Amino acid sequence: MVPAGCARRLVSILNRALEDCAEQRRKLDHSLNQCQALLGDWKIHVPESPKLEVSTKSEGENEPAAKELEELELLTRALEKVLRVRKSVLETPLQTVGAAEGEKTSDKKPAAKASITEQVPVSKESIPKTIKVTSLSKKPVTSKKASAYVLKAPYRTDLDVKRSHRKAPAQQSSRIPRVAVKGSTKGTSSQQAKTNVPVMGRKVIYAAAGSQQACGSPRSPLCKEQSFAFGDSTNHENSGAANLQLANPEKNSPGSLAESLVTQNPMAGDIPEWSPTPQTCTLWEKRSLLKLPPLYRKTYSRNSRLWETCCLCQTSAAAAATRNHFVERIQTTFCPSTPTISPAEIEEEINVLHDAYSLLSHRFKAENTGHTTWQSEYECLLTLEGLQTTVSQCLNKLQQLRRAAESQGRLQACCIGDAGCPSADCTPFRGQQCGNMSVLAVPLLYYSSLQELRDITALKLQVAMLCQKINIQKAARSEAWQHEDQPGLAGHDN
Amino acid sequence: MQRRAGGRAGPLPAAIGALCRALPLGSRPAPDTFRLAKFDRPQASPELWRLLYSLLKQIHEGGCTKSDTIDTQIRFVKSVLRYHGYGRPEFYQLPSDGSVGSRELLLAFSWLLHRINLLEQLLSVNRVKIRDETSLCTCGDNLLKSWKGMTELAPEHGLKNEVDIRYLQWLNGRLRFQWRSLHVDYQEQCKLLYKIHVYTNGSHMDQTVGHFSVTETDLIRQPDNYKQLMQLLESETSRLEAFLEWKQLEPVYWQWMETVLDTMAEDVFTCSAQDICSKKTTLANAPLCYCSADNIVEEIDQLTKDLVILGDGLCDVVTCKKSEWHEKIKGRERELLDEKEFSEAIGKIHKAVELKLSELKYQCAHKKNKMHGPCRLVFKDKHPASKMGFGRSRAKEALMNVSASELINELRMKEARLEKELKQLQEECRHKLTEVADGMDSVICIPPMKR
Repeated sequence: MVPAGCARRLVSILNRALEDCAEQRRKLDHSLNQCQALLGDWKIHVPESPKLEVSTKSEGENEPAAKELEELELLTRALEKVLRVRKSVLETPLQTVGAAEGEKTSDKKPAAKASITEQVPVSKESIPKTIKVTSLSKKPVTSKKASAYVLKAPYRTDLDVKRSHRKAPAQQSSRIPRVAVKGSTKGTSSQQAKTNVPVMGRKVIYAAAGSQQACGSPRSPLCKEQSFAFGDSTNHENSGAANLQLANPEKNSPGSLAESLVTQNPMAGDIPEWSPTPQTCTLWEKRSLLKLPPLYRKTYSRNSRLWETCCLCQTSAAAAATRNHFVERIQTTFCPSTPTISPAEIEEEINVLHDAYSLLSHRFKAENTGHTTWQSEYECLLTLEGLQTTVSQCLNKLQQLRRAAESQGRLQACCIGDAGCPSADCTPFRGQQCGNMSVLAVPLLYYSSLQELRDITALKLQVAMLCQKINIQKAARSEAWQHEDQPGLAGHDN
Repeated sequence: MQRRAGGRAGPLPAAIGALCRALPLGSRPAPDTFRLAKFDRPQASPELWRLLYSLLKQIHEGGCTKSDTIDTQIRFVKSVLRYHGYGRPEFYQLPSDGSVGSRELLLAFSWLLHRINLLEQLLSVNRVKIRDETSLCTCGDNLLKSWKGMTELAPEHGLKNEVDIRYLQWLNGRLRFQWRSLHVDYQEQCKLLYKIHVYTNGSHMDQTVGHFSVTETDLIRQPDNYKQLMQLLESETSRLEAFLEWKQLEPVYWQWMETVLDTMAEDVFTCSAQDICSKKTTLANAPLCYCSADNIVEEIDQLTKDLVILGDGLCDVVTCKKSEWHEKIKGRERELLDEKEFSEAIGKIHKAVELKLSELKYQCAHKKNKMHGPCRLVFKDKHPASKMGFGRSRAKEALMNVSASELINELRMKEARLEKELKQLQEECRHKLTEVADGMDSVICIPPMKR
């Protein structure tokens, strides 16, 4: 059995270590959750109008609802016009999905052109959504025509198609119950959509799509379309409400978004039925499309430029002179018994000497290798002599520091008594963190592979763990050998 | 005050205003406080104490965690100033209810501004966290920080009089398990971080980085959650601007501080300065519970021991080599090269060694800054087709930028060193144990299994 006295210290050390570990794990858990959420499925935002209002408020825009409805009207009319155009196009014979790819482009183009001319500049996200709603609730058009989208070669279709296929059924069931919009007449749905807009947003869209589901085949081109449109939201030729939906949470640039939305709307009208679009997507899918919000970009660049300037900012000579003059003057008023080296400086010097020690021993080891020529032998000899002198210089400095530390300690000792400081609730501080060359600049750590990152993390953890083990070992040793003479003492932590 | 500044409401209010605006949002004093403090008006004292406390707390983690009373705050501030070597006795004699002494506080504040680069420290400590940061060293590691200051440990409640050694072993085992889980978690995080970096590569407008950080990606995903972040960024930007402004107007402030000293000198004219400073007892009033000198001395002793061992080792090798060299020289004297050539060669060697040694001496005497402190983690594809180049990296920072391979090497060396030290300690322990065991009659000591 370990006596309570020495056990107490060891137990508290170990408990403290466990607490620190637990805290680190908690922080790590939190960040892991965040990262996993980012890499997992991103829920498409269903920005109900309250949300929209908030976001627009933050952007400083506060348009009255009347204007919104007005624009809504205009857009709806534009869509109706386009639908009529589409109807005529639909007379042409259907083709297979695959072959339709070529046609997709051609089919889309006239409609696209039509839509572009009818673009209404919108600045609110809600409007595009309503457009989507209205457009989606068109009566089913044949699948092949529906898939009149521009395909972008680089995008992988299969993966996305599979994804949407998987997602679609799931989404449908969840969305449909919440939707009021049903049926296939554009008129009614647009009416409903209008009224529903403030509340339902995209939910309506999805539901409408789901309720009108015809056959499975349209889904694939649609889904393909989605991902493509998604891939290129800035390209106005690309249609697809999916683009709207999926792109919305990522791009807070309502202007470009709205434009693309408008062009897409007529296209969306072509869609026979709006197959339930996947309401989630992943970072991988949108990886090169992401853009930071413009407000953030602006602030960030301003911020980093300022940091740069501050780093390079030097104290002017005049300022330095006046400052030093003041400091000298005030230092003359210091109590003479103040030790010349402050505790902060002592600690700093000790750190420097720690580093010096490791440097010197490293060099020592390096020099101990065999030498061939007499020149290198001589060089080695001289270097070692130099190391010796440096070591003795360090030792002298250490002695100085020790004397200073002792005098500080004496000063402390006579104050502890009368100050009556409650050391129980004070945690001693060890001083500032280690610093960079310039406090303001943060260096960049470049890594180029996962393995490097892993190595760094593992090594840092290993170093910290070893330090902790050493401390525990030292504590155990000091505790154990206090009771060296006590018989019957079992072995201690090794 | 304005008159002193030169006849117009000019540089001084601007300087003080800039100074106040460069301070963190929660700790900003009213500029008028400074003026009041110059004339030692008591109403400025509580605010200045609060200011000092909150600023110093941000820089020095530690201090009182439990109570926030004026008394403990004042003690914290005093001990920090003591730690940095502030020696004005009047300051330490200020009462702990915080009612008087605004001028002293003003002086202390200005001294700190200079001494520890207060503004720069605050800016760096309060940096908004939008980047993926890590640290190049383990100095700031929480797991290590707590060790250095542990002198008196709070007694463990519920600890019986004796503790079974197995309890300690169990705790130790738990700790090992925690480390392993931490390792696993960290590796997982690496993987995720890497993915995010690679996926978002090429999308960032800042070319030196090229990819988004976790926060930025989350900002895209959920912009509504980050309104506060935007506000913080804005406030940081304005603080940086104020800092630059302050740098321009600094001389004015320091000149004004001298007038504060003058004012004080006038007021104190009657009191005898000698009475105030009575050596030990005066400074002894400074509460030093926050910095302990015992640990320092212990550390110094340990380091001295190590250096002495190193020095002895060096000494041995040097004497050995010297004698070898002399013999060699003697042996060679006959078949030696031309005297001149020889001395030339010797001279060259001397020069080279001197160069090496002077560099070494410099490194030994100065703070090693390269591999310390926080850093920003950036993924840089080594692929030549990568559109990001190093061209745009800023000159000053480029000096400090570290590559992962450098850091890995450094860490490996550190690891090896620490392992050696640990093994040494363990060996020592084992050795002593065997000694003890040998000394015990009819006792067989079975050491634990070596893992």
